[in-house]
Amino acid sequence: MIEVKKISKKYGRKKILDGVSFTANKGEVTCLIGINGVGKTTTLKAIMGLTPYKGEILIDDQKMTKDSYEKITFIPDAPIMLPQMTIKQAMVFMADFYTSWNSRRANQLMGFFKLKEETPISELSKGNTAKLNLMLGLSLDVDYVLMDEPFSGIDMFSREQIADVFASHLIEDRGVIITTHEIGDIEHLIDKVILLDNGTVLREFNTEEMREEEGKSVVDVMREVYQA
Amino acid sequence: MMRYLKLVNFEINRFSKIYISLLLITLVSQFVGVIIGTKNFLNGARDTMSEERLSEAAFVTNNGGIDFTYIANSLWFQGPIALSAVALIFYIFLIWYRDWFGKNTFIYRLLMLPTSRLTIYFSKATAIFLMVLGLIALQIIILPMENALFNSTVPEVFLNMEMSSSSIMSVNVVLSFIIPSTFTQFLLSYGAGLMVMSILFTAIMFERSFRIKGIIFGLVYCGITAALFLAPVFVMGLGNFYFYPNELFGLLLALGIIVTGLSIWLGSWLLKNRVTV
Amino acid sequence: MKRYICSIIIGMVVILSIGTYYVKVASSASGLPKYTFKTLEGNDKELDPVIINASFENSSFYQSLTFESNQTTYDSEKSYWEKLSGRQDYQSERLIKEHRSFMRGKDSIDSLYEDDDFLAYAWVNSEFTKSGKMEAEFDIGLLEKKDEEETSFQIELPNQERIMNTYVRDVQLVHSKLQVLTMNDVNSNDDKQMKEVHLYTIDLANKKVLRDKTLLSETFTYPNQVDLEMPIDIAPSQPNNMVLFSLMKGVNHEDGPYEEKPNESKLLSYHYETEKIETVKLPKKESLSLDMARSGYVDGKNLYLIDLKSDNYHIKTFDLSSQTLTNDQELGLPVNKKKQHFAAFKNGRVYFLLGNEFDQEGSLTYKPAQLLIADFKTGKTLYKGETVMQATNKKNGKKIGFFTHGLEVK
Repeated sequence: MIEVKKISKKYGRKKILDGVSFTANKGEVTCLIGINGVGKTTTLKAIMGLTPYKGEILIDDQKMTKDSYEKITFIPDAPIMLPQMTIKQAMVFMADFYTSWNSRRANQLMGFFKLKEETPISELSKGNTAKLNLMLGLSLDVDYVLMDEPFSGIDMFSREQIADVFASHLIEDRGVIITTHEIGDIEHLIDKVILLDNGTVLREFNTEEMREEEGKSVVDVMREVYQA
Repeated sequence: MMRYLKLVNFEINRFSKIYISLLLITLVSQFVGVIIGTKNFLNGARDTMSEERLSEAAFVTNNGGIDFTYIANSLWFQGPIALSAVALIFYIFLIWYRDWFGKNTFIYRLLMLPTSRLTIYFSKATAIFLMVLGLIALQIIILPMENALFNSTVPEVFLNMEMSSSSIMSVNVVLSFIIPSTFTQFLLSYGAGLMVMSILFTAIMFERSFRIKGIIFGLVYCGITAALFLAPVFVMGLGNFYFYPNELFGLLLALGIIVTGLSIWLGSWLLKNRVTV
Repeated sequence: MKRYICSIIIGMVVILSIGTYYVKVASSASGLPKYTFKTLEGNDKELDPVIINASFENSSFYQSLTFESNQTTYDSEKSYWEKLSGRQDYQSERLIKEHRSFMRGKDSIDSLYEDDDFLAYAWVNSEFTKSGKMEAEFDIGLLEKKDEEETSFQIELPNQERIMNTYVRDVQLVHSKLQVLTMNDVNSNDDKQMKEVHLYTIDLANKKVLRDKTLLSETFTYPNQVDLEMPIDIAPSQPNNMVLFSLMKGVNHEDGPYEEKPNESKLLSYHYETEKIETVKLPKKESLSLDMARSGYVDGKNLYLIDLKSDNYHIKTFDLSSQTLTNDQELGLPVNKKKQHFAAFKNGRVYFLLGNEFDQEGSLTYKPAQLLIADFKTGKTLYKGETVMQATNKKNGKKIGFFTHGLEVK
């Protein structure tokens, strides 16, 4: 379980996060929703130890250490491997540094995404870059996967492929935190929703309970909250 | 440990194209310098001798002969050394900033490696240091060859003296700076180099942590460490106290170790706790 | 493995080449030529205390070297630790070894006085304020050798507002009072220039300047010129009764060179006990010139002059109190006026070094230097030799100058 406890973060005078708390469980997909600039990405960076913050974040009751990077991974929406590398070299790099690297899974994903090993990273399209990031992240045998806007600016077919990966067994027993501002493609996969605005949590709910008890979809709740 | 070595190797491979270019430029330019330098001298000598109707011996008495220092002081010889020095000093900054500002933000991957941030810090420092030493090693290897080429092309009458590599290095200002004449001096010079690099790394970490404010912190930090390290020299300069040379040496050595340790600790602490991606 | 090839190559090359280089440097000579004295006469044991500073240079490089006990060492060949302490004269080195704490920061041998019981020091610290005025104070130190008791204090320099520069030239301890002889440049607003010799008497017990006596004061305006110099003191820190200084007057011609007025120049002596300043009268018939006196050597009792007028070099001893010539030693070396000479007086011997020959070419070729050691009483030659160059390669070094800069005797 990832526990985010009252974390705050300022850039200069501007408060990006102001006492954000939530939990994300293993085996569930938790979705951070909010319009752009409300601190979704910053929250993910804070969990990964990529930015300083106030408050406390625990992963399976423990603070982040260097070994945690074998247990939790982050898939940002920008290319993070060197452009001069080929996909193959990127895979070798990952295998070199992570004991949790699963090359069988990597090859499976390569085939699924129809990526070619010898392609240089600098030549990948936006959609293929997102697929590469996903491939590299999901090929680690980790407990938690954080994904930042996996669908933004990506063509329809790539989106479908990515959504298929979500639906497949590849993420089944992991804890997933995903940020997005367009919920459409994956609404049916989400277990838990956290609505962020102005650096605070506006609402936190379980999608199934919401549907069963109040009869509302995620989009319904979003409309209710943001347009009020 | 393995990951540290892998990272060092990784950093070296990333710079290898530019680095190999630097090695080649040095190699070619210095040898060309030897050939052109001796040719110019001999042509000049021949012209003067025919104009003034001098014998070779008379020319040498009037104008002096030539020795390797003549070559070592030329731009062909020192230019590539300066170029390499500038490139590597510049790379102290680039080795960090290219991870943030490159086409792809590699710093995400780097900081998410299952290794301590101190290892990342050390691997970058080691890579630069090893590349500096590599250039020094190249110079040590090619100098005797250049010297032999020079001695074999210049006729004996014109040669002031055949110099050994070590005397060329001790006589030339630039060479004696990069390749000191004793091993102790070598350790101290490059130790001081490491100290400066650790201070610059820390200043970069300040900037990466606090951005514009960080530039000020970084500059202040450079100032403080310089003042701390040079404090005994200032004390002496102001005439307040006189240190005997060996005392001054001991103080500078101790302060150098303290400053380096402090910089490494602070730099890696910032990288671990304060840096923003 | 292939991915690591670059790093492995760099690492190996670095270790091998830098390692071999320094192992080689440590174990072999630099290849620079060595110089040794070839004995022409006498016993080469006499060379043991001799230290000669020299250089090996041409238009493009300069290497200083020290010649000690018939061994050449280039500065560049010294270990780091040897270089660290720098080169000091033998006197200062001994004092630092014996009184390390007291000698801290006191490196001017002219400022030191040493007898059996005391070691004293006087220096003038000066600083120019922003308004251009000089602020100066005496920095006085006294060490009682018996119980290693150190006293040190600062006192204001008297009448400092009229002084521009002060140089301490001699320090003596006379009847428990410190005598500090200085040469001062005096401040003046107009074109006039003024040079003075002062004697400050300092009461060490009460930390007071008791007296500021002007021994000599000379005013002049350009194109006239006055210079004050002192012959080389061969025992600068030892108790001396007398101090010598030469006054030179001359004129700078508009478009010609400087010309000295020999009739107005003189040699003066000051006696610390009698407090008398006198003009030294060099005996005319012995043909001792002022020039010789100026480049002479003094020890408080005698002035030793080097005479180049005969076929061989002569060293003449002039007794300062009786103002007579007491000794005339002929050295077994023919006079060569083109060569620079250096002399040292120690251990009852005179050490005489004949250095480089100045010819029109600027002497960029090797010429041997000669050294003569003679018993000072009898004039008997104890050692005579000349340098021989030993180059690893016969071609080497012949076209490169060898210059001597100084002679010291342990």
